[in-house]
Amino acid sequence: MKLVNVPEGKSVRVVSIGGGFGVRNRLAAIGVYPGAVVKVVKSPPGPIIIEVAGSRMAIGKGMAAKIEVEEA
Amino acid sequence: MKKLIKVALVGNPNVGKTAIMNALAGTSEKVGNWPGVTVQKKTGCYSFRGFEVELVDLPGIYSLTSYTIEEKVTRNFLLGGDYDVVADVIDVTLLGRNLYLTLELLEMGIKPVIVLNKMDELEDYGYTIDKNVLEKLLKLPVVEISAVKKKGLDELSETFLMVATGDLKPEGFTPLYSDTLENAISLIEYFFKDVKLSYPKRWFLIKLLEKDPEVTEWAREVLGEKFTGLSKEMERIEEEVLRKFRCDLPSFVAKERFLLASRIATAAVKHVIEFPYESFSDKIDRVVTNPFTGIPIFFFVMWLVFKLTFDLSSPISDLIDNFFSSFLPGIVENYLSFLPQPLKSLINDGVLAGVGAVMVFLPVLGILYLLMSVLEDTGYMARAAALWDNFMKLFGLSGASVIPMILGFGCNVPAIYATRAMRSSVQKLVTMMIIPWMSCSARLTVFSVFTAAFFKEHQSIVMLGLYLLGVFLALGLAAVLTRFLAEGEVDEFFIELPPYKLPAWNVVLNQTFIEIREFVTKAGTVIFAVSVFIWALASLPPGSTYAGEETFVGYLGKLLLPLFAPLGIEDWKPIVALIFGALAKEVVVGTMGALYGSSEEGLGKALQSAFTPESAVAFLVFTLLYIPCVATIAAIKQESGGWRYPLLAVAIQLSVAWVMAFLVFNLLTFL
Ligand SMILES: Nc1nc2c(ncn2[C@@H]2O[C@H](COP(=O)(O)OP(=O)(O)O)[C@@H](O)[C@H]2O)c(=O)[nH]1
Repeated sequence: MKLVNVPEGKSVRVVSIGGGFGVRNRLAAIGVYPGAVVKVVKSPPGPIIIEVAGSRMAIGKGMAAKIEVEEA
Repeated sequence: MKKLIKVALVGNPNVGKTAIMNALAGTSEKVGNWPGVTVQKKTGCYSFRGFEVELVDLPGIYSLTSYTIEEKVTRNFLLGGDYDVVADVIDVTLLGRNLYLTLELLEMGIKPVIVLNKMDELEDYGYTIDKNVLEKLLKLPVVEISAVKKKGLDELSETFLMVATGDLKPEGFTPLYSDTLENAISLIEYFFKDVKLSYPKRWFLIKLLEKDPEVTEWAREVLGEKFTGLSKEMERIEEEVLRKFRCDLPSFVAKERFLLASRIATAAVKHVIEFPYESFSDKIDRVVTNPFTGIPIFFFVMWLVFKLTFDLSSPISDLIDNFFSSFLPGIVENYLSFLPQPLKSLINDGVLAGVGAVMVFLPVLGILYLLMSVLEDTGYMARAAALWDNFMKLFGLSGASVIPMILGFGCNVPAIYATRAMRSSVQKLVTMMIIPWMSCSARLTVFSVFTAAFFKEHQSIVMLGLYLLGVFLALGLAAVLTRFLAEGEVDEFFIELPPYKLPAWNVVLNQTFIEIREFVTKAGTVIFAVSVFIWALASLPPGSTYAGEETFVGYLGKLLLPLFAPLGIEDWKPIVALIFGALAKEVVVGTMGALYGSSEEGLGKALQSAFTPESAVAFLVFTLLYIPCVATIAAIKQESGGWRYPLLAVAIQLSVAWVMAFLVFNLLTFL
């Protein structure tokens, strides 16, 4: 399952992240890394909002489509 | 002589560094640029116990990689060591995530003072922080403050002094990671055993494992031949990590750091009551970032901002304008009538007009800046940026560019300053360069006079077409510019949405005051100088009628005629009007009125004889695009820290304006 398809209010575990390693390194710095649990606060239309490490982060649909997640 | 102590403020975005600068240094803040880049540099000064403390605000960042200019600026400043104390500012409500950066600082061998800001908010979160645990684990001094409530500030300054004078020598904890990572570090350390590095070694090695672009380049330089061996070793390590942890090396390192930071935070947090799930704020977020509801709300908010700004400021601006364009000149005429005419003209049309040109901006700028700070401080700005991000990415921009661009329709000058809220300096630069094509209200006066004279039937369609042309070209230019300027930059692909809250008024007002002062001293001087220069062009040689045929500006207008002939403009007068328009676009109409010797009402007739409908459209297109007004140019210079980008903007816009006007004129004539 991709992050972009997760319904609102659900917590999921990150499996893998696509894109360059710069992107992955920087996402890990805010708590989004393989194995991390994030909660989807809002799903499309519009940006995805996740709750991670106590703060809300808006992520574009394009990026969220590259994040593979599983049931937490 | 007072002893000077230099304190560098480091921290994530939104931790309250600006608020700390305000609380400590008041209005002494100075805004400049980091050398060679367009990243803003803020410094402030204050005295404490006989010492002079200088605060340097480093760009807000989440991690010390080298993917963006902000990160590089911060990192290179920290590596450079030109400071006495590093203050690591932490938003205490997000302790775990903020400690990530702290660990990176410690890896660099820096022993910062930990500043736990927003202590006043902790109560709402239902937990307390055990400062002693944090001090013991990190082996660093920890100070609890609230910048907004001005609590704990003396203790903070005290700690700065003690660290700077060496009375307090923080030991600093060395972050140790899992065996896998530590082994990897030792493995690659082998390649550097005979190499002298000018950077902290452990930091260097960890960054190398993170495949940091800048550090990898440095390693390639120092290792020469041996670099291939290192690459092979790194590949081997990565394979192992990938197999064991399903994670690439750079994310693995970051993850280790993140987990360590979380563990430290968990140890320091006491009495956790169930974290209140902020469902109400989430509900609002779902509405304001959903395009179907969010876009109408966004336009409503922008409309409110416009209405408030222009309704509130225009009476004051009118007063100021009157004061400088009729009241003071009247006094000069009455009481200084013995002065020779050229001198009176210099005072009235040169100096007073120049000062007036600067002053009329103050109400608009002040009110708009205030409203922008409110939008940012309440948290709405981040939501608006998230809402537009996807669409703006199409043109290489980010969602944060939208608000400045829309403000541009009111007036380009505050729009340029509004780009300050943007994090990425490249995006900020590109946005500044395209804002002049957002047709401001001053251009509307030109459009309405012309369209009334030539297209009575289709007035609104022609105007709409002009606005759309501006937006369309602006987005196109953005797409091109980001290609060149954002080379090698990694997009900011997430936007933090801070909790909604009421604005901190003392900070907002203090910042507004600082911005206004900066405008007057930096942009104001440029605007004034250009005003006087244009006055000189229009009144010399002595004895000629103001802006008449025999003045320099009239001469210049005629000289430029061949350039304008292909656009269907055969008269020197509109060209002179355009030169004056560089001062402020609305001046174009007034100048033409004066030159054609008609009132503004009679101007339509005069225009009909000077222009064909085709050349009128070409002239409008040219007016829309040709050059930012001098105040906008000065603002771009102030914000980008030099003449390079404003001049580039002028060059691009003049050429595009000419080409577009040429195309439009010929297309229309052909049809
Ligand atoms: N409650 C509280 N809020 C604060 C404090 N300091 C800053 N803030 C708020 O945190 C937000 C970000 O502050 P700012 O100074 O702009 O952060 P910067 O990005 O680090 O410069 C603003 O909305 C401030 O009002 C504080 O001590 N207490």
